[in-house]
Amino acid sequence: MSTAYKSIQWNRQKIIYDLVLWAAVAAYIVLFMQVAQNSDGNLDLRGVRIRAYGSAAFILLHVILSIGPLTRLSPKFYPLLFNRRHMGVTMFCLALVHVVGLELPLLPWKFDGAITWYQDFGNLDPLVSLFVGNSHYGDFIQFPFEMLGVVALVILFVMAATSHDFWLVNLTAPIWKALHMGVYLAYGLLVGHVVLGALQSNRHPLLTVAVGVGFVWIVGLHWLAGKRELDRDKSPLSAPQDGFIEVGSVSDIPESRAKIVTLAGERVAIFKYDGKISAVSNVCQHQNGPLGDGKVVDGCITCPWHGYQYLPAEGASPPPFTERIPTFDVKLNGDRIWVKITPNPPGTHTPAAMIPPQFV
Amino acid sequence: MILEERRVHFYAFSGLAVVLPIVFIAGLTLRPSYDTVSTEATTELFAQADFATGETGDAIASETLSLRGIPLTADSTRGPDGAVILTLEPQRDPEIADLLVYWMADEGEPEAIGADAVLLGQLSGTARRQFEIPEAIQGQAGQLVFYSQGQQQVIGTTLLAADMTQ
Repeated sequence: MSTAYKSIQWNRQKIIYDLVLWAAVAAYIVLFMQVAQNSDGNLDLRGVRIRAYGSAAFILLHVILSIGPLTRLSPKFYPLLFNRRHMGVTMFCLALVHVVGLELPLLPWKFDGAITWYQDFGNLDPLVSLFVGNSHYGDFIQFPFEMLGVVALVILFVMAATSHDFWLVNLTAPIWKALHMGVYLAYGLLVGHVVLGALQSNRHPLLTVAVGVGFVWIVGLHWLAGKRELDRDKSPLSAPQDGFIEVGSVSDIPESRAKIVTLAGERVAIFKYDGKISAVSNVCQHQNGPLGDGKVVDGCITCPWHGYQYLPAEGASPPPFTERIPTFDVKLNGDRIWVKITPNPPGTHTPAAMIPPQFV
Repeated sequence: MILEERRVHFYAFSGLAVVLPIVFIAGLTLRPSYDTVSTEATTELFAQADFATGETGDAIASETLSLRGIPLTADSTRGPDGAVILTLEPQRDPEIADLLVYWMADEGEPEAIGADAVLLGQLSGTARRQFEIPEAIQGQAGQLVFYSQGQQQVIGTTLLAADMTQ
């Protein structure tokens, strides 16, 4: 939550998350190199290393893309989402090493990337060679698969470069989110990159099965979660009366939790807490996370994605924080909850509806 | 996510659900098959490339040459058909992808490929390669010149004694 600008707000969870992430990546690369070395001593390890980093990035992209829909299907996966951006930046760095290699001051490891290894032995500049070396753009199987990787890498670069909250705030969450949905296109391009690249020369059934299972998993999971979300948005509500619409019963909502309904084209989270009912926009100001999937902690609605908090009746983060979300007028008729269709401006104080004692 | 983004997400993955299986299946079924030197097609491939394939022959001479400090085992043999075969085997990878091997008359260490240079063939990593010595240069001392076409420069030279080519 924003008070004063801090470039990185580290906390214990983030540090643990990153250490586990980087240890897993390092273990994968070491294991990949060892297995390759032991399986065939004649393999040129420079070429193997390029594939180690490329496959690490591709696998990590699968992990990253799995987290979102898994949280839609089960809240148990929310902890993975907390620091997903660091995972994304790590994935971009692995992809970059796959392409350009690694040669940094102070680092003892220096090795070539795919551009040097595959494009730097001719009489053309490697970058020129990359774009003109294979001109079969009209052929499916001979298509220069490197181009698919290049476009995907550009998308991943834009995402990594704008991943910081600085860009989230300045671009605004909807634009930032739309920009970062480019990862779906990047994923499609990378599957093409692997199918028309690595799978053409490496015919090991394990690789073929892994790539196939990977995209079926990702596409299936996203499609399933997306379908479920769209169906949820289409749930019918009763006709409005005096600008209010009936959204259900007090007993539908567990204590300190919310019921999510779609009103006037957007989701509204209706929270029950401390004998009261309040309704706010379901969209967190930080990253547009689903507030209604969170709960009321210490009197504040707490976003399940990154823990941003809002006072239910105020539609605002507790001072000194400055985030604001739209609120909705709420009234009770017996145990039936009625919510006004039109939202109040973000941060508008809206008195909570008091639940009659017999329904608490 | 907001409503519009949820729709974009759903339709994006509906599109990927159609496109990716087609790309995957087509990529597997249409992939071309290339013979490699590790298959039984080796002999045919070597013949197509006009490589010397004489495995047996009378030994003529052996010595260890040097390519930029890398030991280069050199053996020359005479095959049953009378052809002189020079076998080269680098002991370490020279790390040059297109290492062409030329023979030039011994007039000092050349800095470029001369017009009278004779192309013997190409080295590849640490692979053992055989080159047929043309009759015109048999019995002559000369320079083996290792040249990269991609880099357009002489990578190294080494003297090949006359007794290695006769």
